[in-house]
Amino acid sequence: MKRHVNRLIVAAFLSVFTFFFMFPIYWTLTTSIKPKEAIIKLPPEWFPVHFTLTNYADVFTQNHLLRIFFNSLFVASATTVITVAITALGGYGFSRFRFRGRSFWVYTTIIVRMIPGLLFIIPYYVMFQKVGLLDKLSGLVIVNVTAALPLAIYLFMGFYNEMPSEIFESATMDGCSEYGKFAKVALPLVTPGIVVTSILVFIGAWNEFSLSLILTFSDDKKLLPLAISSLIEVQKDTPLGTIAAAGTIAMIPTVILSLTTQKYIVEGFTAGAVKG
Amino acid sequence: MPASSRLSGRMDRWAPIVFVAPTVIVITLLMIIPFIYSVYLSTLSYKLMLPAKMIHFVGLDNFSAIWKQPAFRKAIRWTFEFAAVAVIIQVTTGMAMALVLNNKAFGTKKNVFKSLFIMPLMLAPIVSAKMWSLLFQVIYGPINYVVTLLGYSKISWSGEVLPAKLSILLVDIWQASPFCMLILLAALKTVPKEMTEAAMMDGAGPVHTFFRITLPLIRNFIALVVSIRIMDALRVFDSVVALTNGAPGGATETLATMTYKTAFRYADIGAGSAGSILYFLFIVVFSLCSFILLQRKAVTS
Repeated sequence: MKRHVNRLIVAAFLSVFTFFFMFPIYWTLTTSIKPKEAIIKLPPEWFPVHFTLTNYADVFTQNHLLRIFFNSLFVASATTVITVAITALGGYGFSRFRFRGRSFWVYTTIIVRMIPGLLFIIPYYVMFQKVGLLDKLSGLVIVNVTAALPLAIYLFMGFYNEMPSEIFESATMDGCSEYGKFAKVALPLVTPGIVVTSILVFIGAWNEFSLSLILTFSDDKKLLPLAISSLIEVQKDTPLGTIAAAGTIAMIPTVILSLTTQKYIVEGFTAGAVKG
Repeated sequence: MPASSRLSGRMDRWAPIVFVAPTVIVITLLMIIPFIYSVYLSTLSYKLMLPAKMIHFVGLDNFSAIWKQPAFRKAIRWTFEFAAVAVIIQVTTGMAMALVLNNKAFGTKKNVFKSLFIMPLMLAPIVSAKMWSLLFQVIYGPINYVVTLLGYSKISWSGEVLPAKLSILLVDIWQASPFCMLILLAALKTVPKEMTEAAMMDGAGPVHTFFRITLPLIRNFIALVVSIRIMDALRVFDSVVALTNGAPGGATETLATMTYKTAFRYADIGAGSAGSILYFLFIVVFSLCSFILLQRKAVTS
């Protein structure tokens, strides 16, 4: 009896949570494939009856969405590669060696995590204006790397700290240099950590909005989040169908990542929080 | 001793520097220097619209000017109210979700729900806000449809103060509760089963067990989630821009949107920098205080 009550309560909560967290996504997906008449209809069409791809066609023809999608892909990938390359080395240095100034740099990265992005964007704007990086995708990569670096350093330090020191000692016995130890011992072991960090950095850069809002202006330099937010201004009547279609397109990479690499994402979020 | 190993020994001495050099260079060039530069900019009268020779030193005038603005004070108040309410609800919701997922009923079948629940966490805040704006749509939105079914008149979700604030809160709760769930689920896994089982054996109910045994054990995790979430909630920007853009009448303007508008819409780089430095100080003080407070409680209990 008691067991049944427990199951009932759990099932009730699961349904409420599923409804709350899934309904906006469900609504966006279904709105994106509804014809215009079905979108502006009362009572709302809870289950789509007719399917159409015109919303997607609109998104692609009225905006340079394909271009924007690849802009986003480029910025997010470049940010990920650069950040992971820098922090996989840096995290190793901070974790394995004790040297003067070490704690200064470690604490600086923690404090930097608390700084609101806006505090950096204003000086970036002025500096980028002077060196010609304003309204450039490369400028966006630079600021995204900066935004991602503190968390990535922290994750990597955690991953290296977990490695038993015996394996490094035995490598020393075998006459391995410090660089050899990194390449032959640490790197193979940290590969899952690289996956975790890459996913988190990629998602962060892919979702980033305020930096690109301020540092780019041209239509062909836009990234997806910015393009989606400006859809309303571009078109006359509130384009519910196009917003839904663009939202769905922006969702695709993150949803694919969250379904295929859930284990790594969960690890990344919890490790980043628990260690950071 | 062969020459090669002496060489590698000398190279080894440089190893720490070689490994951390890229990180240190990036931190210096892209964080420390811009930060100092920002402090410098905050002491200038610097308008983007005016020619460069008009830029001049004004000391702390930008700070006092921005502090005296009623709109800035209003934004501070709303940002802190928002952060407090949002974080309390998110942590509670996250806790409920974690408890449900950690419950032994239905076993591992519940893992599907875990993947579903983390989806909002993965989406761009701006995309989530846009998705919710479809739901909040005044005439055809499903939320207003339900509101009319209940016998009320349609609500203008971005046109009235309270609904506008509620909509921003709701989107943030939707997006951040899954994060709290993940951390708290990891926290619950650290609680030894024997302890809760023993309490149940002694006749303590599940509610009693949770508040007396589980909660004190995971207090540090809760302190952590709360301070991370406060830090993020105080930075809320994307969803405000997407849902209300500060409307109605600046009621939902947050510290982030205020500073952004000061610096770029009104093209006042000096005042914007001053605002963002004040904003940074608020975040540091507030998140450190909340962390210390919650941690101390954990120690004393």
